[in-house]
Formats: sequence, C-alpha cells, structure tokens
Amino acid sequence: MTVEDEIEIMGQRLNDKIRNIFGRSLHIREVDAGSCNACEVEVNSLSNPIYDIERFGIHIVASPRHADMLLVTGPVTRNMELALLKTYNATPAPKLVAAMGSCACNGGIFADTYASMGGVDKIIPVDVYIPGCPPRPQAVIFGLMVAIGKLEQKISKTEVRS
Amino acid sequence: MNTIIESIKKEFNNNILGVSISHNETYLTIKKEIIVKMCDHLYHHLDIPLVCIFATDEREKAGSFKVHYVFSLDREDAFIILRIDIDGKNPKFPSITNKVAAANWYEREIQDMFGLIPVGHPDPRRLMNFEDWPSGVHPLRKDFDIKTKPPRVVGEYLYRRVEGEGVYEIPVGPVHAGVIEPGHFRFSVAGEPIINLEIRHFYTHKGVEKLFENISLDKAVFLAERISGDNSVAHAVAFCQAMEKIAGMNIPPRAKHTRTILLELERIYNHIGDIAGIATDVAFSFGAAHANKLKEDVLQLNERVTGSRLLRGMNTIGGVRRDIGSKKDEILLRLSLIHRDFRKLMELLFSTPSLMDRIETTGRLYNDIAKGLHVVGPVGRASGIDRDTRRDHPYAAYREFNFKVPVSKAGDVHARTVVRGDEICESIAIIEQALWSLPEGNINIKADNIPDGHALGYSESPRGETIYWIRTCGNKIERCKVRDPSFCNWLSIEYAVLDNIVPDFPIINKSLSLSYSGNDM
Amino acid sequence: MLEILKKTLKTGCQTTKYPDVPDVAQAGFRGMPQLLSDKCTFCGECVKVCPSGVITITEKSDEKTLALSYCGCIFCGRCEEACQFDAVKLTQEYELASLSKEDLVTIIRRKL
Repeated sequence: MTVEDEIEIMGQRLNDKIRNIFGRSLHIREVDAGSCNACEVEVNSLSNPIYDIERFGIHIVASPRHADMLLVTGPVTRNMELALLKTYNATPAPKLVAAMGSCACNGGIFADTYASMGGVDKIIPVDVYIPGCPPRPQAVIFGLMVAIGKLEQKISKTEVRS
Repeated sequence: MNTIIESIKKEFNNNILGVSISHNETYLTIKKEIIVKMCDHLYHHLDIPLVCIFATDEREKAGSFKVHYVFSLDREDAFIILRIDIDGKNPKFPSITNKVAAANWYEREIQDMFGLIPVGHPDPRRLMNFEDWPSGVHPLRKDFDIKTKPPRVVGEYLYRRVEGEGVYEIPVGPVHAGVIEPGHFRFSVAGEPIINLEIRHFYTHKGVEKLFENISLDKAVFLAERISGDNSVAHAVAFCQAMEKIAGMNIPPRAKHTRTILLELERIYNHIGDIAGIATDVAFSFGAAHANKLKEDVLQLNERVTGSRLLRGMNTIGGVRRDIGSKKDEILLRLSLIHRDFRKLMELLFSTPSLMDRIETTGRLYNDIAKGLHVVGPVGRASGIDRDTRRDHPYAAYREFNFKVPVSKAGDVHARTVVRGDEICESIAIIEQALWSLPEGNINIKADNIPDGHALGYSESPRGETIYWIRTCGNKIERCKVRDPSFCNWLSIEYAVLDNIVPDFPIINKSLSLSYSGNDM
Repeated sequence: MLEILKKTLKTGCQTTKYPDVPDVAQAGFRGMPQLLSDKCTFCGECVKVCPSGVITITEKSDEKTLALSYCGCIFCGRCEEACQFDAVKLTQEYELASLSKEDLVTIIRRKL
C-alpha cells in the first residue's frame, strides 16, 4: 500500500468519524442568500410540532460560530455574496454545507444575471443538494439525514440508450 | 371619476398634454414642471392615495424616459396615472417626496435603476445598488444586458448617526439570528430605549423586473410566483390579471372562484403563521406550538388540493391549471376543524396576561404616519386606514361575496393581531361561499397571442395591495413594474419602534410581517 | 393554566413518524418528473416550455441526447402538459437529496 492509499483511508475514516459525531447532534445555521422566502417557510415548518427536527438532535442555532452546518437558500445575489462568504469563513471546521431549493442548487428560475450568482456552489463548496421549489419538510429532513450519513440517497444518474 | 378628471382639468388646463383611457385607468400626460403641484393637489386636496411610481425607458420608441405616478380612486374602482417625459440628455425630474412622503423609495429606486435624478429629494443615497456598484450603470435601461456583471468598486454607505452621551449603535444583519431573510437594521440606543432605527435592505435583489423582460410570456407567471414566496398566489393573480386585461380576456367564472379560494387559503396560512411568530417572540411556546400546528394543517390542505404546499403552479394567463371541484368536501371539512381550533386558540392567547402585557401598546404606528407613508394591508387597517383591494377594486370573484374588512384604530401589535385573526375568520367565510356557489364550466381559456398594450393588475395579498403594471410588445414583456406591499410598509418600522425597547423589536417586526424578498425584488 | 393543560392532553402527540415510517405524497403532488424513454420522440416541446431551462437536447454526429436536470427544476409540470406522447410524468417522489450534482440528472441517448 502506498502512502497516498494510506492517506486516503485515513481521510475516509476521519470523514466517517465526523459524520458519526454530527449524526448525534447537528447544529445548523440557516443563511438566506437571496431566496424568495418559500424555503424559509419550510425551514420554519421543520421546527413545528409535526416535523420537530429536535428529535434527531438537529438544532437551529443563532450564530455561524456555533454551527456544524450551513443550510443555504437562494441563488446567492450579488449583494449577499460577501455576507455568505463571511458566514462560511466564520463557521469552524469541520463543517457541512447544504444547498436547499432549486435556486441554491443552480440558480433555478433566477439563473445567472447581473444580480444573481447562479447557485451556492459558485461561492462556497456544497456537500448536499436538496432540490425542490420549495422542498417539502420531509425532503429537507431526508437531505439532512443523507448529509450526516444516516440515510442513503435514493437518486442516482440515470442514462438510457434507446 | 369624471368629476375628478374635470376638476383636475379645470385646475391645470394648460399643463395637461393628453388624456387617454384604458380599462379603469385614466392616463394624463402632463408637463414635468407641474408634477409636484399636481401630486400635492391630488394627494392633499382631493385625498387620493399615491399607490406607485415607476419609470419606463422609451428612448427608442418615443425618444425619452417616462415616469408614471399611479393614484387610486378607491370608492370608484379606478386609477389615475400621471405621466411625464424626461429627456435622456437631461435626466432629472422634480422630486415630490417633500410633499408626498410615500414617494420616497420609489424615486430612489428610479434613480438607481434608470439614472433619472429626483431633484430636491431629501435622501439622495443609493437604494438598490450597493456602494460597490459602479456609477453610471443602470440595470433597467434598455441598453443594459441582463448578463452583464459590473465589477465591484470601492464605496461607502453613510448611515444617519445619533450622537450623545451613552448613545450606542447596534448593527443587526444581514444574516439574522433566526430563520429569516437578510436585511440590515441600525439602531441608535441609549440603554434599551430605541432613539433611532435605520433600515437598509435590498440584499435579496435578484433583478426580477429585468428578468421579466427576458422571459417568454407563458413562463413569466412562474417568475411572478417566486418574487415573494409566501405570497405566490397573490403575485401570480395580479400578473395574470394585468395580462388578461391587455388581451381583453374574460376568464371563466369557475376560474375566478378557484382563484378566490386559493387567494384566501394563502391569506389564512400567512396570518396564522404571523400569529404563531408573535407568540414565539414573546416566548409563549405553548401558543406558538398550537398556532404552528394549525398553520401546518393549512399547508397540508394546500398540498392535498393543489399538489404544492404554497399553492404554486395553479395560475396561468387565462385561468387556472387544475380543477379543485373534487376537493370541495375535504376543504370544507378541514377548514371547519381549523376554524374551531383557531377560535379557541385566539381566546386562549388573549386571556394570557404575559402575552397581552407584551403586545398591548407595543409598536404603536399612528394613523397620520401610516397614511403619510401609504401603509397597506392589515398593518394599515390596524392603524385606522380602511383600504382593501378586494372591496375597493374587486377582482376575481370578490364582487359576489359578502365579507367584512376589519379595521382598528389602536395601531399597536395587539390591534394587528386582532385584525389578522378577524381576517382569517372572514377568509374562511369567503372560501365557504365560493365553494357552495362554484359554477360549472371550464377552468381556463387559451391565451394565444397577447396583443401590444399595457394594463395595471392588482390583488390583495396577505400583506396588502400588490400592483403589477405591464406593457407588452411583440408578444414579449417590454416593461413589468412589480410593487409588493412590503415596499410601502418597510419604512413604517422606523416609526413603530420609537419609544419602544430593543427586546420588543422582534415582536414589532413580526407583527408588521414584512417581506424582504418582495421588497427587494 | 388548567386550560393549557387540558388542551395539551387533548391534542396528544402530533409528530410525524417520518423517516422511520415512509411518508407517501398523495396523488397530484408535484414531485420528480420521470422520463419514459420508450415514448419520447425527441420533439423538443418540453425544452421550449421549461421555465428554468433544465431540459436540453443536444445533437452530436451520430446520436441525440435529452438531459433533464433536477437541480434547477421548479416542478411546475409544464413539461408534462406540453408532451403529446406521455413521455414525461410528474411522480410523487420528493426524496431527491444528493451528495453531488452529477446524480441529479436523467439522460436518454438515441442513435440517429
């Protein structure tokens, strides 16, 4: 086994250990980078008695410095780019980033214009994408579970030759 | 209406260059020099509210910019729109803000987006373009390409400062502590009492008005739905109505009833959500949990009826896309359960002393300030302004239903909560009437080519009066002005927080229920 | 106080059992659009009507490719309305979270 292989294995083990710890308690800071507010309605629904994400150990915190994960919505507008970058830098490592909604994934209907950057991954690295407009609270819970490794993602690239 | 036009003509005869009438809109083209006097006359003398100001770039067609001032004649279901021409080589126009305070942000927006300078404006700072936007670049001008990415420049935005012994400045935002949209608030406080609050928004400016000019007509309704996510239906209906007016379409009665039902469902879940937010902000978790549960019941009902929790994808130009007739019994049953639980919850909330102590007399917005700023929606009605687009400019099927418009004079957080609670009960009554009288027939008519023209579309969203002015040309949108109710209401927070303490700011903000994305566009 | 206690006991536990118990969205839910390759004729109507432009058709020398990306999809259902051949259907699937963008795509390739 070469040194690179060993580093690869160690990196994977570290990743698994981090995901394990996050799986017991995940602190999320939600950042709205220009969304229309629909995704915020759904994130607020997550805290209601019906979905109650606290039962998974997931907690929404007030400051990025307390956070393990940034849940970003919106296509990242020109005016919010700097704020998002500062929030990301303020979050201590190890951290995860989830892009929630079609706007955060690739700009959605707002695309790439003078005012919109066209998706969160153009500014900061993203760990999990949660499509939807807005995604149902169940879809967001599923996305968070996938991010921390508790559930396997269901979707995969489909290619059909006919 | 005619008497008002006659009186204006008598007063300003030589300065009116043209009159044209289109649907319930009367356009008066007047000389730029008398705009201040005429707006003052309409606003203060004839007591007609100023609803919107917007500009259009018509240099290619007519050789100039035009600025439009929209006034609403509530009792007569009509609008007066004043138009002035501005030469591109001398892009200045007289500011009316010193006479009509409601014009403040509109003129600053025109300055940023078109480069037309309102001469005499008391606050000439930038509004939508931040300090890192290069000067001389104006996005809504026709020669600006939407994909341009202007470089960032160094600049500074100066806030109003309050100086004195023991006075501190507290900056809040744009990333807030809760799950809420981004915006900046700068408080000047001495201890806890707030001396001054300055707001600075437009962080979520997505260039929607420019996007409308670059998207095809059939897809534009989806963009309209995504301007202010929790007011999707109201925006979509206002947009569709403007387009249907231009095309001269009369949509089927079944579609009108369906739109009314969707609009009222949206109103119900928004208002319950606001009441839940107020209970959360006073730390009454029990009340908040129950209100959130009721909101979730409504959102799940929305999903069962339309396939989308926020009622998206239902409206189209010409009617609605899905028939909800088969869901009638389910809607009636679930709404009656929600109504019963909601009434009990409100009784409980208003009999809880800890909550009442926090919301009575807090965040008082006086009637004259609300009127001066043209505050709309439940916030305006809680401060004694009796205006509701559903009653004053009936659209969809509202003409056929009986409903009351609750108004209060107190203007505090308690008054706004009571007004919202009463509106929920009225909304449930409207939905029941609409479902019981749901007419047979088609749910939409085909919209082929939309002719060239322009029209005003409007609706009463949960936050207030939403206005769309659209001009089409060559089966495309040439100009779409969107005026969300929050654009009018935001400035009211600077007055509502005075004489209150900083910890009361979240409740005041929540009770005003302001959309950042709708405001910023 | 007693009123609060009474109401709490009456309401009981409202929390959903998801994700332990699957939550199936009801019929009519605007979920993931599914492409049926045997029905698709590559007519391109869905490409024209998509508001966020997530459906694309590209042509190389010997094959045509239709790609649908769920990344920017707004689940409006216009593709389903526009398709004359029932090749696109909105399903009730909403669990679309993915660790990479590459997984969020469906492709049909057809030899010319």
